[in-house]
Amino acid sequence: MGYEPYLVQFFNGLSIAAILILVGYGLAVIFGMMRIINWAHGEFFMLGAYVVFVIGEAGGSYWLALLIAPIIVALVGAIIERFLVRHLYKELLATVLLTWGLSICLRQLVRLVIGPEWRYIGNPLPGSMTFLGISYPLYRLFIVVLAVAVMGLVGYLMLKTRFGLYCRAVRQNREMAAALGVDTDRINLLAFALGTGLAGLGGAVMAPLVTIQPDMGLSFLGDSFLVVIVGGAGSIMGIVVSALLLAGVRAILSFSIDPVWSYILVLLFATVIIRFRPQGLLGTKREE
Amino acid sequence: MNLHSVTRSIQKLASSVPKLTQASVGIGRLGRISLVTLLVLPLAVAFPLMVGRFQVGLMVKFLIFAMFALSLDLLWGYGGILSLGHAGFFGLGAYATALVLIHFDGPGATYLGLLAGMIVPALLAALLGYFLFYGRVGGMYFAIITLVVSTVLNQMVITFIEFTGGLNGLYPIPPLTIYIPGLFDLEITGAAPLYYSMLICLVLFFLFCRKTVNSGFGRLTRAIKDNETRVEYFGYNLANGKIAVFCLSCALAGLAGGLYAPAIGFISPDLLGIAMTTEVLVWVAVGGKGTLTGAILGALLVNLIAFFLSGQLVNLWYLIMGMFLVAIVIFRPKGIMGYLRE
Repeated sequence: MGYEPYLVQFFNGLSIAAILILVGYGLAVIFGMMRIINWAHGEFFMLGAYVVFVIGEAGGSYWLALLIAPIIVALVGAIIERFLVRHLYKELLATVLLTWGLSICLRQLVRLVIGPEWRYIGNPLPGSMTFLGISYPLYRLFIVVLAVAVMGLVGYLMLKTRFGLYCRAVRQNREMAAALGVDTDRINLLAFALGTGLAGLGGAVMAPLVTIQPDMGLSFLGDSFLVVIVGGAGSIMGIVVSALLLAGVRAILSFSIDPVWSYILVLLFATVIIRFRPQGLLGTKREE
Repeated sequence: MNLHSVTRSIQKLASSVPKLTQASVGIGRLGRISLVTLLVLPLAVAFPLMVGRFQVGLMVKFLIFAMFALSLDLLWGYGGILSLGHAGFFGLGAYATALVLIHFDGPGATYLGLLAGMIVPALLAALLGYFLFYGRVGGMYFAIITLVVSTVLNQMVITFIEFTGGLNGLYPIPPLTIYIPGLFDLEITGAAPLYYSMLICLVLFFLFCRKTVNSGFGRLTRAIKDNETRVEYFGYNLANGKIAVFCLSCALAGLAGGLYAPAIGFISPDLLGIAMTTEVLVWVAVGGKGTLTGAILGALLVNLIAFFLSGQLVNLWYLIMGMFLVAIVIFRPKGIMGYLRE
């Protein structure tokens, strides 16, 4: 006995952080590009989990669902951007209300169509791996690997491709980018789809670990807000660091105090961060 | 006939047409408002005579909700500050008043309770406002923080069971009493007396809010909404202005909550929840923000529709609520009153 429980907790924290990175980066992409906060982000996460559940019910394999879920959720996101969000870029507070209303709609639609019951899906990767004196579930290790791979891919997309170049140009100066011939509406649409798709992927990955129910996105929305607030919407590294930090703090606090208090403490911490470093811990310039 | 004089008289006539229409519009608007007052007030007064006790009790709740909506309209419609945690302050007021009424049983407890219901949320708002507005935190960040604060409050109410009753809520809460030393000590119970006292409260709320928005302070809040930089150039302290309107709005929300607790007799953590915040936003948005009458209209209308629809269709109703919000933001950002005024 001794260090093993802490090591297990460490890896638990790491796998939660991996999902937070996916979802949080999705939120950050949308916020960074369009200056809107997507309050329905948690619901895209929830949709991802439900796509996995529905495909599982229909007899499809989990791995297939994991591939399809982000695509379907990204499509839903693209439709919402094209027909609703697009009209309101100039009015920040209106987009808050709009996405807030959308989150209610998505939750209730799922509740009406699929039902309010709690759902579970089986672990697609049972078994565990023994290392460093502990035996650890394979699936959670898979999550970490997947998140690293996806974030590597997204990093490549943002830093090395033309799409990424356009994204960064729009982020820095929308008018100038438009003047130079970048189709900013198209970039917005793609960025929104990318952000929601990442949330959907996060939900799909998380699905075997949690109860699937229509309100599951709400708690994750809070966490991804925290990640973006602490990390700043600017950089992938900021998001990664703050997700690790948040999950780590949660894991440590869960040993010592009531979950409600750890929740409250973390939220208060985020409030202080917003007050003194609105650009995030690692950010360099003001976001607003 | 001199052609010149004819053209001149025609020109004169033409130029007077816009004036004429303007005058008639002015009269029309004045007439409409007074007509509305003439129609609505007797209806409101006669309401308990026309329907059953259950409906009157329901209307008591809606009248209090209308006061709550007014407090949000002051902040959001006139101050341009969006709070996504306004229910937190409403609920905080409700709990503060309820706790005073339950633990302090003496003459004038109602006054003390309502005072606590106003002061506790106002103090929290002052603290938050000082912390945030001086740090130039506004817009979306402010919205997130208010959401966080109301979530924390909600969690605290659920956790401190011995004080707040946890998820079971607080019940029973002593009724409102009007106490005048040496004269009388009158308990307000029963549907109709509660209805009339809440109606009076709502009218007072409305008159107070209207006086506020038409005062110099009200003009300052509207200026802040329109152009913060310019307000600063004119030498006003921007942060103080925002703190003041935030405090005032939260005090009024708390007062509405404070009236809710003894009037309804039961409070639960739902009052501080996200759903409640969403509802009050919808009421104000539907009625038309920045109009005051719109807030009242929206609160009453949405709640009445909700009452008729939600009996059978709880989930569907909540879906309709979300769609309402989306539709209003896209198609009618000014709400019903804004639409009528146009």
